[in-house]
Amino acid sequence: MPADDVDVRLSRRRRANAELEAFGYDPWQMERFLLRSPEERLKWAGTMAKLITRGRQSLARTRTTGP
Amino acid sequence: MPEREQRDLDAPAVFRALRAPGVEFVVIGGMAAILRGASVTTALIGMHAEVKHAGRVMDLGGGDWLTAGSTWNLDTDFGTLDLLFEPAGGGSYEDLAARAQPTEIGDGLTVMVAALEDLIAMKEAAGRPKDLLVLPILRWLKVREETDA
Repeated sequence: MPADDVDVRLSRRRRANAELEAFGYDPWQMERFLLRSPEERLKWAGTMAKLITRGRQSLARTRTTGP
Repeated sequence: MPEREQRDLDAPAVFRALRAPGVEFVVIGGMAAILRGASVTTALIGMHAEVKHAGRVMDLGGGDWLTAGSTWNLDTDFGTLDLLFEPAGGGSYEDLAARAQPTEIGDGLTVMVAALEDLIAMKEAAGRPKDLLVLPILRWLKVREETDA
């Protein structure tokens, strides 16, 4: 790959990282997630969804019965 | 009607259940974003299905009480499934499927996952706060994809 292309590529990535950080996200955390296989990402999604479901159910019970 | 307790999400089980009777679908929404590498959370599975396969999905439900529409929000034994036949910003099923990426998710199961450009277009079209929150990550992934050596 020509050096100019490498510079353009790195420049785009740096700009994209800065834009992501501007929204409060961590590019390195995103990079780490990309290392997981799609199967591992699905398992992670299932675990997170379970936590969300449990949280909603707990919140609903608290609203009904009080803390 | 008493409110049903929300079921735990098991995406591979949903994919298998739909695949068995031959329903063709492309994974979209938050689940597709996760499969494409976005570290975001979702409590449901979004899919764009072939409209001609709506009957096969109804057969899975065991009844003919479902009526055709552009979006079905289904409460399944494996979590909530949003089945969209005409997702905003998604274009035709054929176009979406042509750009989708086959993705191996374990146990020999491969599903079609919408392209990042389509996920971005659909999130932009939906425009809800939760969609706008995911957009910076999807755009970052797109740049990363385009600049991969």
